[in-house]
Amino acid sequence: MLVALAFVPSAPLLLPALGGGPDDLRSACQQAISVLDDVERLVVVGAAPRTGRCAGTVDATGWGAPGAPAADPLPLALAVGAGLLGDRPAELYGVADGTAPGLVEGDRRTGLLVVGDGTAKRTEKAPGHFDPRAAELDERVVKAVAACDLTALRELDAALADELWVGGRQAWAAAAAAAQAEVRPGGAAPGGWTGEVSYAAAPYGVGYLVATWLPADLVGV
Amino acid sequence: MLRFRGKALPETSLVMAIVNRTPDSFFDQGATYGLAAALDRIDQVVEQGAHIVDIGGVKAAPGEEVSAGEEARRVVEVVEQVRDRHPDLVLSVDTYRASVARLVLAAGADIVNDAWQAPEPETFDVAAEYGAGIVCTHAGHLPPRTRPHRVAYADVVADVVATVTGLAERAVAAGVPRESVLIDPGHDFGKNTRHSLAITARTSELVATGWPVLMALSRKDFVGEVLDLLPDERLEGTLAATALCAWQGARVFRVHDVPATLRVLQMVDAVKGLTQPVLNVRGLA
Repeated sequence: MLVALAFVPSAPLLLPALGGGPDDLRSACQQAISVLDDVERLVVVGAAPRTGRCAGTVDATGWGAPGAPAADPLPLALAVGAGLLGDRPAELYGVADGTAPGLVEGDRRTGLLVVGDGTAKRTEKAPGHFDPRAAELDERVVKAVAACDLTALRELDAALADELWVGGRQAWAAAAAAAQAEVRPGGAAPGGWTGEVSYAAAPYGVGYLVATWLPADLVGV
Repeated sequence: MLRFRGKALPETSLVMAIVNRTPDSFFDQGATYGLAAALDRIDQVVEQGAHIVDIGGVKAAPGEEVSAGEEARRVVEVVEQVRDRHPDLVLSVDTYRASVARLVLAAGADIVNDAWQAPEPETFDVAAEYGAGIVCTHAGHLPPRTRPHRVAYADVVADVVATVTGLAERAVAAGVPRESVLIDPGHDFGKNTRHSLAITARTSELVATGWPVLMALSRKDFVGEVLDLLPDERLEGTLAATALCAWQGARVFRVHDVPATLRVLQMVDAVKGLTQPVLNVRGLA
């Protein structure tokens, strides 16, 4: 049973060994993650070469951090998610194509840390240089996350997202599918979900998004 | 870990800022001879990030005779006032006289920077008595305030290593804390330009002794002769030598130009992996 979701970007600079990122982004991430404090099962979801449960080490040496490389480095998004959680144990789930069988199952109160970000073409100095379509796509995603528009997140244009270097499409689609399953009698969110976006900006030309989803009937009670 | 009278310094490359209470030093030409000017300059270099301040009352080159009494008059009052204004600052005094060393240590200085190869060995005892640090410098076996004339070495680096490590061991034997001893090869002191270049190139041999190495390179004649430039044109040459010495492991740099040196050392330290970049964004966003 899925009871809470937190969305954070998958930027390597959020890894503690690479500086941890700008203060406002880092604190927004930690604040969002705090909605997962009371879950019984915590799962980090992020893009990976293969779909399914994943194990490995948070290893930033590939991105130049000091130290010896681990034998089993995690894919970026899972490493960032696990890195943000620090010592807190979590399952890791990689998503290759947007479907995520078995991501949420059983009665344990489960929380998802959904790691992914938007386009990388927001400005002239962005990693992928400027593309005028980038801001529009990021805005659409921010609105979809804020409104918990599950369909919009599941049906993002994959070709356009790839062209604009979107890093979060697969994880968002998997999270939306898992959230959809709770919108039913007996689900955690029979009345749907309520979203709150706490950070949406592109300080380095990459669309970063930090948000939380909670069951609508719990919010404001 | 470098520590001077209880004050520990970071494990990075370090800057010792030169402040001369002299009317005639070769670069500043008396700019900080007055007490107020010297104190203002010290405030400024501390603000700029200097880790150590080195106060001098006698120019190194030959010139007007300065008595021990006059030297003490120049430096002691500076030490007293700086100690008040910057209680945590590591304060060094550039003197080869044991009597002056005693007065400045009593006033609160932390290091005796003896640039003349210990012509008064009782300086070691004085430093030990106060638990202070000492700089052990190779000055080419010349008396204080003399210039080299046709000095020759079979192997200048070997001579430097033997001399400064010998002085350092004597200092420790006299009771100076081991963590408070620096060695300085003494660029230009008892050396021609090629000697100073050899020491620069072979800094790693000094570092290999295990003693922390102080380098006093700033705007010196060896830089001037390499480039054929006057003291006020020697910044880039000094910084190039600074980078090369820091890369090989020299720890402390005695300098006139604090911000420029700090930037060079910050860059070298990052290349060495001693420190992390301030920003981590490129390719990581």
